[in-house]
Order: sequence, then C-alpha cells, then structure tokens
Amino acid sequence: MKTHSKTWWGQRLLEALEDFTDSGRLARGRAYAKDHRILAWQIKNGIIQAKIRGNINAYFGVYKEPKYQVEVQMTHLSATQWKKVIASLTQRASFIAKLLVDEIPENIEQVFAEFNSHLLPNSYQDFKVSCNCPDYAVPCKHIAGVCYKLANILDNEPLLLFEMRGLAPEKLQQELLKSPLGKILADGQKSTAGELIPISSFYPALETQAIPEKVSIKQFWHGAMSLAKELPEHQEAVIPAVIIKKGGDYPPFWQKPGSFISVMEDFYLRMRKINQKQM
Amino acid sequence: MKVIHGIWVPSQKADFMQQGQFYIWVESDETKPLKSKKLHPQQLRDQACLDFLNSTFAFSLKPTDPEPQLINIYLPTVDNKPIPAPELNINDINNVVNLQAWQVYACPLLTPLKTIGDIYFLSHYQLEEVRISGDFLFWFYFSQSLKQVLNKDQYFPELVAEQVKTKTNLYRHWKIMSPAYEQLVEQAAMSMPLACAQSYQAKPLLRHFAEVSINQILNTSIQQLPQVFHNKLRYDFLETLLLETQTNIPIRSVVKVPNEFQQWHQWQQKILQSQQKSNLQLGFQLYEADAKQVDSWHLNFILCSHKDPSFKLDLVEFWTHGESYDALISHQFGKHIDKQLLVNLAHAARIYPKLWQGMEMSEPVGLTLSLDEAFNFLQESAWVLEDAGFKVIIPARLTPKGRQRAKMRLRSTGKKTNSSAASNAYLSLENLTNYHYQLAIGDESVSPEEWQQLVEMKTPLVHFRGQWMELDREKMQEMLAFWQQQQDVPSDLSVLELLKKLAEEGDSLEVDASDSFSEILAKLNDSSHFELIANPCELKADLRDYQKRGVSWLRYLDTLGLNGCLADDMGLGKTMQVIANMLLEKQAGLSAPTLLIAPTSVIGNWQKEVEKFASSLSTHIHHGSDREQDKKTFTALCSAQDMIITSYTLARKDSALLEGIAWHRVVLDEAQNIKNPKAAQTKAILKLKAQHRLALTGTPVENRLMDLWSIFNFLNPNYLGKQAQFRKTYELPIQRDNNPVQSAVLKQLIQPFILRRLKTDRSIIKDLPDKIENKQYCNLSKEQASLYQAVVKDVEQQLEEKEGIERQGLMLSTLMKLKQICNHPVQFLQDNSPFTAERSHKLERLIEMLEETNSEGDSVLIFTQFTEIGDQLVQYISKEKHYPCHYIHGGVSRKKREQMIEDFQDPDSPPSIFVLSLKAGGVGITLTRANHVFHFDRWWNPAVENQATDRAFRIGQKKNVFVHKFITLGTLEERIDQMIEDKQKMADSIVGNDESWLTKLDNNAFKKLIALNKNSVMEA
Repeated sequence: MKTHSKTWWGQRLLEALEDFTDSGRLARGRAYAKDHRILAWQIKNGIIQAKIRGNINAYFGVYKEPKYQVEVQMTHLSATQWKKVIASLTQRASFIAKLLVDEIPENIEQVFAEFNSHLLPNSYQDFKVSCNCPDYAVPCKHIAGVCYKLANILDNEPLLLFEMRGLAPEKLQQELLKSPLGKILADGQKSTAGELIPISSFYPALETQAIPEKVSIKQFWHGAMSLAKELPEHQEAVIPAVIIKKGGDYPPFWQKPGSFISVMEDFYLRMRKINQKQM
Repeated sequence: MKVIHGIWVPSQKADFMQQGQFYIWVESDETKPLKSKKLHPQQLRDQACLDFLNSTFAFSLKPTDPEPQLINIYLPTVDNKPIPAPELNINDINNVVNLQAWQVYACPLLTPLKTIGDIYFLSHYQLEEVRISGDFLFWFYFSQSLKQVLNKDQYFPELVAEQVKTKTNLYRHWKIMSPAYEQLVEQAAMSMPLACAQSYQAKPLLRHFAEVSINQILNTSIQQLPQVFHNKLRYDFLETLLLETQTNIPIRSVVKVPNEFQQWHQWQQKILQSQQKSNLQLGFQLYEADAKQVDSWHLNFILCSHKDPSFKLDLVEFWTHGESYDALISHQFGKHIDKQLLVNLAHAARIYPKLWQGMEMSEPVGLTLSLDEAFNFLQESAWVLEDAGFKVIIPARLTPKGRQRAKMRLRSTGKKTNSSAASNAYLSLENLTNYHYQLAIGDESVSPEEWQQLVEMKTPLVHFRGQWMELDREKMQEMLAFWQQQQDVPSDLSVLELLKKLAEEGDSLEVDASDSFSEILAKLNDSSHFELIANPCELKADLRDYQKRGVSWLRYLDTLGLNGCLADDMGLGKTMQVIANMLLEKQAGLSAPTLLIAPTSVIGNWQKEVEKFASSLSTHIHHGSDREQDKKTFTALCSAQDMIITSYTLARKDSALLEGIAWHRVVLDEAQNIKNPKAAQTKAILKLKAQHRLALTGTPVENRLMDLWSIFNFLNPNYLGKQAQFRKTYELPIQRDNNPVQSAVLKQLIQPFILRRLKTDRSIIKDLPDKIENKQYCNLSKEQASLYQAVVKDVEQQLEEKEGIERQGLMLSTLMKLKQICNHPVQFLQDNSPFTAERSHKLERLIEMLEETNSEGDSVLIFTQFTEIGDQLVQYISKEKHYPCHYIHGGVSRKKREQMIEDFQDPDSPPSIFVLSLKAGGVGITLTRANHVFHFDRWWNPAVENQATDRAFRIGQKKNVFVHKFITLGTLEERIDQMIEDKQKMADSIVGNDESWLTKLDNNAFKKLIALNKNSVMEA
C-alpha cells in the first residue's frame, strides 16, 4: 500500500495538508494510512468517518490500544455553483474524455475559477476535521493518515472529489444528463470495472468434437479453405508497449517514483530481444 | 521418402492448468513388421526416428526434456491399414474412408515456433527426400504467423484467478491482444484440416496452442531479463506480477484478494475493455499546411470501421449531421457511438497527448499541428497510433513509401559510353567506370549549396520546390561528406559493382535518368525495352516477338560483359533463342565454338533442333565411349564446329579436355544441375574458360535461393558474395524469417540477369498461338538399341518369306514391337524388370519435364496408346515423384471417370497429372485445366492425336496449350514423323485412319523405315 499519491490531483490535496501541519506529524500520519491501522472507513454525504487504531502513549495517559474516531470533510460548493460548473465542464470533450478514463483534467480549475470557486483544497480553510485523540494539535497524525488514504483513493476515483466538495453522486448524474457530453460520462460511470472473477482454466478452454466415422481423404488432409499464400512479414513495433500505454501512466498499484510506462517500455523491448532466441 | 507430421496434443488432464505439447512424427515409405496391431506400420520409431531427426535437422532431445511417446492419432484407414499421407502415396482423395486411431512415435518440440520454422525451412528448401505433410504445413503457417504477437508487443500480463474452496489462487497469464491475432484465428480455423483438429474444435484448439506457446516463450524470456531490469522493480508489486518465473503455481494464494491485485485487475479491465470487439475504429487524417503558413497542419478526427475499410466519416460531419447517419451508423457500430468515440479519443490521447488539444470543445473534430508537431506525428505518433489499432491517413508523399528522398545520383563523366548493342563491340569496362555523384532530392538535382542549406535548416519538414518533404538531415550530412570526398577521387566502378551497389544502397542511390547507364538499367530491368531483332535469314523458323526480344537481351548482356540466365517457362522456346543468337554471331564472323552442357536426355534434341532450324550451324556431340579423348584432335575438332554438345557427367569426367579450349560461350541447359556448389561436376564447370556464359532453366530458380546462388556463381562469380555470406544475408532472412527488406534487395540484385517470361504473361499470350507444338527428340539407350536391332534383324528375314495378310500382320506387329522398345525395354520384354528412367531416355526426359511443370504448378495430360505403359507411368509418377496423378483407360467405370475429371478440373485441388490411354481418353471429355499435353508415343495418324490434344484445348480454355510429342531419334518414330509432315504438306487425306497405310510400303521401303541409325544411340 503506497502512502503518497501519484496523480497531480492527489498530490495537490496532500500539499494543502502539508501547508497546515508540521512535517513530523505528517510523516507519522503516513503510517496511519495503512490498511491495518484503519479499522473502519466510510464516506457518506461527502463526510469521511474513519476508525483508526492508535498507539499506546503514556505521555497522554493512554495505556490500552486506543481507537479514535476521525472525521474529515471539505467545504462544499453551493448547488448553483455546481450546476454552473457541470454545465461548463460538459462543454469540453477533453474534460469528459479524461473523466471517463478516470483522470482529472489539469486545466479543470479554470472552470471552477469562472464561478469564483476551486475544486482542490488550497488551504486549511477548505477542510473540516476532527479526531477524538488527546493530541491538541489539529490536524493530528490520525487525521493526516485519513487524508493520505483519501488522496490514494482519489487517484483512482477522481469523481469522489466532487462528492467531497458537496456534489452527491445522484446530483452529479442529474446534472450530467442535461447535456449530450454529460450523458456520455453519466453512462460511463455506470460501467465500472468489476471484481476479479475466477476462471475455470488458465489457457483457453478446449472443446471436443466427435470424430466423424467416415470422411473423404481430401476432407481429412485439407481444411475447408486453402491456407493463406503468404505469412505476415517480419515487422517489429515502432514503439514498445503500446497496449500498456492505453491505461495511462501511474496506475494505482505502481509504487516507484519513476514512470510506470517507461519501465514497461523497457520491459517489452528487452523481452522482444530475448524472445528472438526462441523464435 | 519421409513425411514430417506435426500435432498439438493438449494434456490428458483437463484441469485448470491444462497445457499441451507439440509433437512431430515421421511417416516413411517403408513398412516395418509390427509387434502391436495398434502401431502405425509406416513410421520411424525409437532410435531410428531420433537418428533421422538428428541427422536431418540436427534435432535432438536433452536428457531433461520430456521423452518421446506413443500417441494416438486418428488417420484414414482402409482394410485395417492406415492410408499413407498424400505426400507419400497418391490416393484418390475423394475416397470416403474410416478414421481409426493409430499409435505413432512422437517427439516433443520444446520450442515449437522456432523448431517448426527450422524444420519447414530445411525440408522445403534443402532436402529432396523429406516432405512436409498437410498437418505440419498448417501448424507451420499458424505458428509462424504467431511470431508477430511477440514482434509487435501484442501481449499483456493479465492477472487471473482460480477459486479453490475458500481460497483464491492468483496467476499471471500472458494474454494475446490484437485484432491481427483475432483475424488469424478466424482464418486459420477455416483452413485447419481434420488431421490437425482430431477430436477438438478448431478455434479453441488454435487459441490453446497459441497461448500455451506464447506463455512458454515469454516465461522463458522472463528468466533471462538482466539484473539491471530486476532492480527497477525491486520490492514493487510489479516484481511479483511481472517477474515471477514459476508459472504453473499461483503467485499468491489468498482468501481476500489484496489491494494491489485488485488495483491491477481494475486497471487491466479498462485496457481489456478498450480492446473489446466493436466495429468502430477511430481514425486520424493529416492535411498538409500551406507553404506560407507552415504551422497550420490539420489533423482531423475520422470515424472508420474495422469491418468496412472503405467507410470513412469526418467527425465534423458526424456531429453536425449525426442524426441523418444514425440508422446507417448505429447498424455498423451499435449504441453509444459518441461514448465509444470519446473513450477511443482518450485512449489515443494517452498515446499521443497532443490530441487533448483537439478536444477542448463539446464536439471534437480535430486539431492544428505546428511544423515540428507535424514532423513528430509523421515520424512516430502516426505509426504508434496505427499499431495501437487506430486508423491513420497521411498524404501519400509523406508516407515512407511515397516520400521524396535525399539521394545521390550517379552520372557518367565526359567520356563517351558506348551502350549501343552493335555486335562484337564489347563495351570496354573503363568506359563505364568513370562516374561522378550528384546530390538530388526526389527527381530533382540539388546543388551542394542548396543541400547545405537544407541540412542547416532547423525544421525537419521542409517546403522545397513546391512540396513538403521530410528529410533525414543526418544522412544528408553523411552524403554531403561522401560527395565532397568523391569530388577529389573519381569513383571507379564496374557494371557489376554498380548494379550491386544500386541494389544494396536502395533508395539513397540512383542513376541519373538522363545518363546512358540509366537506359542500360531500364533495359536490364524490363525486357520490353528491347528492340526486336530481325529474323535471322538462315533460321528456318519464324521467331515470335518475345523470342526476338530474348535474343536481343542475350546480345545486349554480351555487350555489357554480363552473363545472364534465360529462365522462360517450358515450351516458350529457349533452345530457339539460343540457336538464333548463334546464327547472328556466325553471320558477324564469329568462329570460336560454343559449348553446350545438357542432361543426357536432351542432347539428341539439341542436335536435332539445330539441324532442323539452323542447318548452317555445325554441331558435334561429345558423348559415348568412342568420344574423342585426344587433346590435340579434340581442339582441332572443336575449331571446326559451331557447337559442341556434351553432358554434365562428361563435363566432369573430361574436364581436362574441355578446359583446354577457349570457348566462345558455355551454355548450361537445365542449369539447376549445378545447384550443388560442392559437387565435382559444378567445380569442373566453373573452371571452363569462356568469354560468355549462359544458363538456361525452366524452373523458378528464385524459389531455391542456394540454387540461385550456385547458378550466379557460375554466371557472375562473386556478384552475390560467398556462399556462407549469401546464406546469412539473404537465404535465412528471406526464407526462414520472411524479411521483406532483404527480399527486395535480392530481387533487385538478380533482376537484371534473369529473363523469365511466363506463359501466363499477357504480352506472351499475345505472341503465342493457342496451341504450341513442340517435338521432343530423344535417343535410344544402349539396351533399347540392341533390342531394336534384334527385332529388325528378325523381321528382315521373315519379310521376304511372307505375303498378303500375313505380311501385313507381320508389318503391323513389328511396328508395335518397335514402338514398345522406343518407349521402354520393360514394355517389350514384359519381364517385370524395373521400370527405371535410366533404361529409357524418353522416360527420363518426360520425368524431367514433369518436374518442371510441377514446380510451376501446371497440370498436364499424358497420352499413350498402351495401357501397360499407362500403368507403369502412373506407378512411377505417384511412387517415385509423389505427384498427384489420375489415370483413365478402357477399364475405368463411367462414374469413377467423371469423378477423376471433376477432381482434375477443380481449381482448388493441387495441380496434377492425368494419364490417358489414347482410345479411352480421346473423345468426349474436357480437361481444360491442363496446359501441357504430352504424347508419350505416337499414333501415326495426326487426326487422332489432334483429337486427343483437344481434350485440353476446348471452349473454356483460357491458357495456351503446349503440346509435346516424343520422337525417338534414329528409329521408325523419327522417320514416320517425317513422312507425316511431308504428306501433310501434300494432303491430309493420304494418311488413313489407322496405321495400315504403312503396310502399303514395299519391303525395301519398310526396311528403310524401321532401320536403326546407330549414331543416334546414347549411352546413359
């Protein structure tokens, strides 16, 4: 589980967090974003309610492993603002296309700015947080941990940011349906990737057929059509790993600082060379 | 003869990880006694099989490899015996038979893609005694087509899960992903024989083979990734997923799928969905900028269809008139076209991010590119988008094919080049060698200053003389440097070197179009540029136009000091062109003799043709035990002759003698005889001294590249490099790896030297009558001659004693006996002695000619009036040559006969041979698929023969028909042929319906008719 964000919008969220807390707490907070620390996690009406497993801390008089209730929410845009924002967003295919493939367009803030607003948090003002731990500082490391986790989730579910900013999913759907481009995104939201469904055979499953009792010699040795006259020419891909590129860079599982795609390019190129020996 | 079979055998255990193994087994023409009734009786087993594979393909199994096994294969079976594969024994392919399981000894191939390719390559191009079966051929085609999956990165590390009770096992699986692969599976399934499918359905079996093989290769390759790559992934989730080398066991076994795996799965789902089947294809069309507004290139978005390549709709149109297309489009692409378009655009934009800019509106239609961006698009993005499954349309002149290139042009210096084909004016090589280089782009020459300017321009795309072009400045810089260097040192090239350089440099070097050498090149590359020679006055035949052009070509090569290969199809008259050229040379005062080396079976024919069509040319056959062996006498003999004809065998045996003569020309007939460069015969021929060399062949030499090399090594030594080098540069890349670049270079290299006209060429058909008659003369073997002599001697005595009907009967039976002897000794002796080609030059020649027609894919008819010979021929052709063969004689039922005709005529069946007895096959049937008709023996009535010939030549025949009539020299066959020709000139009617007209001859005339001319006897 990574503890920092790869996407530009996730990073912006964390930057805002870094603005109003000291680096030591922040660093400790990362540890709380890990799965074993988060006992419960729920997002409802744009409010995150989480239960965090804390540490025994004699200084604060905590002698038994504590569980803290953390709540994080962000300030909401008004319904009118959202209406206008969505109307504007759905005028540009690039926005919709990016959101369709789960990316927040880099220039999205232009749209929010038109309506005197912004999407990503700029400062502490944009957050409402609470934690029942004894630490006097706000945000504490538990809150920081929840924010880290949020940034992580946002990497892959960018539209959650809209919800955090006060636009309920049903409301979003409703607004999207008002324009043709919006409709496309609304449809796209419905078909999200499913669970990993177990399969019954690793390789394509075979199907048997009955051996005919009688057959002409010709039918046995020749197919219904004659073989293609020529084999495909030996040609190599111009650019490696094109399939991978369709998925975009910095996928959620990728932990390393560099570009995932460039590693995969390297992989495909090396494999192509090595494969030749077996061809 | 051995036949290689291949089969994909899925593992018996149909579990989650059900794999499979590719096996080969070897069928043989020998039957082995068996211990078990289930074993296939005609196969190589155990050590014999391993030894064969090892010695033939250098194939061996390592101790760690799985062991060969007996596997069960269903095969056509009759009378409890498996029917041999069609490659081994020609059967009636329409016979309906049972399928029965047989055990074969099968060797596993651990790297099937590679080994199948190697075995095919060796069997197809190098080995005479090994054939590829239909099943193996299919797997060859399919497995080699799969290589593109690896070459084009069309595979993807997919995470898959298996549920085992409460646990989920996670595996990495290499999934093949590409439209080309899907297409391949569809097509291959249609052409998959039952021999391969056995008890499995085609498509799943193909996918199983493909995925198991590709997974094996990739998993093996993974293990060889270097440490430096491993370091890149260290401690990352990707390390687990990508680099796991154990593939048959799960990478993880879990109750709940861990987060990263979930994430990977969701990520892969999006990619997999993008590849899901839809006919919709997003496309991009590039429009060039105006010269004045260099930064306004337009890239328009277009809607295309995978299914219908001609469908194209600009998105501008789609958005504005969407509704009016609705019915049409939604029929093609289904629902949510706008969403499909948008998702496609997003995927494309991830590959080529510039595209986002074209989507800053609600209805994206395209974007504008600057000069640099357009260049980047042309250089790279266009091809990447295309590889990723998008359609890309760019102006033709900016594609790699249509691009204007910077190149160097060769131009001859002031010295006059003499390229006219005036006889004997052998162009001195120096005349051609003084060349200088010019710089050019496309068709226009460019001054060095302009060139320098172009090199220095910072933009990669330049608008130069009215059009945009993409220039490789680095290469231009190199060229400029080379050019400057050449200014100081004039280049020195021979014609051969020049031709070689032009072919090897490809597009970056050409000859100036106005230069005289360009004319030479044009002529060499296209024989239609040649003027027709006048028909030589001493030639007793009218040359056809293409033959005149051929002679012109021969003479032209001579003037350039080059040696060529005349490779016209059989029947187009290569002999005639050689003879005509010799007449012209003699007219011009040439006195040195030509040496013709030919297979023994055609030596007589050569002499006869020269005698017949150019009696002013003198010939001498150097053959037989009484041939001239004394050097001095032989030299004297040669100087008095225009042509010495000898055999390949004697070219080796008498090499010392033949080397001593300064030949005007050495001509190799059936030049494929020197295909083995190591053979003593080839080596001896290479040593002959001659001013010119010429190779004749009717087989398509370009199919067997090492044969081609060997012939070129004779014609123009070193032109194609050393043998090993040729193998590495051309043979392996072209024939094993299917490399189009090397194939094109080689084609350009050899083209100037090979003149090959096909009987199907339009320009040739125009010159040809519908029916072309050739007489094929051959000699008697020694054995035939002594039998013939004995019969003649016996008859001569009896003839005096008999009268009336008895005398006529004797004459007819004599004719019959002598004709039998001319065909083959066995036919006369009826003693079950072997029916071999060595005993009859006629048979030998027929077989050689069938080899040629077979290699060209022609179907043929063979007529004979003797059923005994028909039987023997069919046996010989199917058992020895393994060509598909049908046979109609009096005893064939009508139903069977119709079936055979239908098979023969079926354009989808392989080209085949039809043997017909003259009486049964003479009338009422149509066999228009044949374009060669052979008359193995003669019916001494032209009308009957013509009627037979007309089986092939009927309404519906679109091809020309070549008729070959065999005539044995020095025997009654030659003389009767002469009589028929003479009489035909007077009146056809003199010759009656049968042979009885011959019995009207008086005794002396008859004796003369049947007498043997011993000079025509030819030792093998």
